[in-house]
Amino acid sequence: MSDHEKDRTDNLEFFESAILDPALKAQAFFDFDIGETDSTVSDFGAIEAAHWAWLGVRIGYLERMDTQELISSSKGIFKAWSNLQNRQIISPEDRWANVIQPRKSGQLALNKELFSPSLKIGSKTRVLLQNAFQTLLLLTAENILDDDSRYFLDSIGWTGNEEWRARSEGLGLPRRGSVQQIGSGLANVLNYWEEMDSASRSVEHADLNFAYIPEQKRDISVSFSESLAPSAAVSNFTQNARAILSPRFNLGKVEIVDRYFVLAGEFVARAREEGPAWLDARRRVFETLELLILYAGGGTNMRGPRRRLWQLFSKGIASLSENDKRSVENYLETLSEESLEEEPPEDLSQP
Amino acid sequence: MRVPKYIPGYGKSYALLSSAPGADTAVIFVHGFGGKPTSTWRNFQGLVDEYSTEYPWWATSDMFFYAYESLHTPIRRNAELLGDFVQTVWHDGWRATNRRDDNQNYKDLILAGHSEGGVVIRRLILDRYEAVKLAVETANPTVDAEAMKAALKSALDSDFLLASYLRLFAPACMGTNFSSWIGFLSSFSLFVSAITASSLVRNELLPESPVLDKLKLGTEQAHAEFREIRSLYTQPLFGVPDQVVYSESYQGEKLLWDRGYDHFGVCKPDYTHKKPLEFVCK
Repeated sequence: MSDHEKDRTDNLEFFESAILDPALKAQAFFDFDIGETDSTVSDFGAIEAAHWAWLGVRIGYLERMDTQELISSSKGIFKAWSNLQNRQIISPEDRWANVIQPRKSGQLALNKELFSPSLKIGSKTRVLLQNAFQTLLLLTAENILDDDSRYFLDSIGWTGNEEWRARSEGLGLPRRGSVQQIGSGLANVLNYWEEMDSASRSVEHADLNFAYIPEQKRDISVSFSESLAPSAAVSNFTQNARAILSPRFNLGKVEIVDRYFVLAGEFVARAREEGPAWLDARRRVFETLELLILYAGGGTNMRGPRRRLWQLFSKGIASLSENDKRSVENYLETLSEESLEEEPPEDLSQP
Repeated sequence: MRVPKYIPGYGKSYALLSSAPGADTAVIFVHGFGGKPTSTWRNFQGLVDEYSTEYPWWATSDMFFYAYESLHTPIRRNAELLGDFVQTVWHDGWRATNRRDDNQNYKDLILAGHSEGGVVIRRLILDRYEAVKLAVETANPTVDAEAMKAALKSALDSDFLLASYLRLFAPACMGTNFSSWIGFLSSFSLFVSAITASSLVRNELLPESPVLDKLKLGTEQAHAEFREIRSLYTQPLFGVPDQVVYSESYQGEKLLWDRGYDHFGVCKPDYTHKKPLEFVCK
């Protein structure tokens, strides 16, 4: 076996132990059909594993045939796909879902056409991407695949308001989980977004030979890039990584984004101190959270009045005036393509 | 490129092994309060090889990123658990079927810690010192003071752990500023972790904590008695500004500064911040 082949065998072994096995174990654990104890996030995790494998093949980190074989033999991925489709969370037409495809017989199969390496990447860029890819896998393994993160994400992203309140405020007697897991899971998820965004920026910066680039906001939309242009290899890579991780958070829904701002605001309130330092720190947390949600979920969900998000963050849902509540309802009802145009930033100093 | 290998029995701890023949140094990275191996030390993993011309010792160093529960487990217990991990690494006990080809032991050990990780490392060192001392005293109950000191010196000198190099980034050895949360808000995820952590562990890291006091006193006394034991003395590196821990260290220890990097950035190298790569050395 050549060094190159051995490396890729080692890479696949690492991918399996870091991502695939934990994702499949979680999927199998929750895969019993008794309603409230299922885990949407575990199903997402299994399909994400197939996506990470795809991205690994694309940049030459993983060997194509062995990887396809490994993913094809991972039944939990196909079960997860069926679960999400049955719950109408994904559909075969979605780009995110089409890593798996139903055959004419109805049986599910890996979409092997996607699994082609991008041969035009230069060797220096390839090394850069493979290093970055390995880091993204490590960050995913240590932040997102544990029980606390899973419970938190299932709760904040995939339950109704009443259930979310029960879980986050310790009301009622949820069948599993704890309020402490909500806090711990939130910490993990925030750390994950921070680190994934920062690692992505780091590789983008290196690709530009460290030329000065102003810190830019991420694109409003989160989507895969199919481009094979060698000059765009790095930006395609970071864009694809973002597209892979995004759906599990369900940040396309305004009410889920709201929950993050309310929860973050409740935590920040515990650090309250009199004086300008705390007021400035609170505002920085708010702005950081905006950027992280933009990274993980895109921006279409944050297009409402920014003042409203600030109010949710600084004072909680109960603080919204009747007028504000009505304006939110109106906003949600009238959400249309026209209303998605960028709004000028608002002055946050007068919440 | 180094490929991570998880270390069985130690959760998410993993190794990045050198591809050079005869790696002679083990570097163990210990994250801090609410930290994680990759999130805390990100970019060491890839940059050590990229910059091995400038920092050649990395080429022959195996790297071990230790994962542990830092929010609810007492310092003393974490020091024991770290000791177990260090033994496993040093004696190559984790590779059942894939032992080092050259069949050689490491010559040197570097313990790199961040924040609470620095406290856990120093506690491990003091525990080891006290254990060796007790063993020698028990084995030689009747010898005079001079002979005892010679026996002790011999035992302490031959201990691999006591001979390790400590490289501590913003260690929390003199306490953490939990009385004000504002510094923590610069990393909101850590702030949330700190809020959900056990108050017992938070209290252990307060400046007036008996756990930190005993550690300081014990280490300073041991260093005064055996100045040649390498691991009893270090020069910690602090970011400026650091609003999370007190930028102070033990008696006689010089402080190093990394201007422009806060508590969380000080241990993260990148293409424009190579100081961490340079700092973790023999």
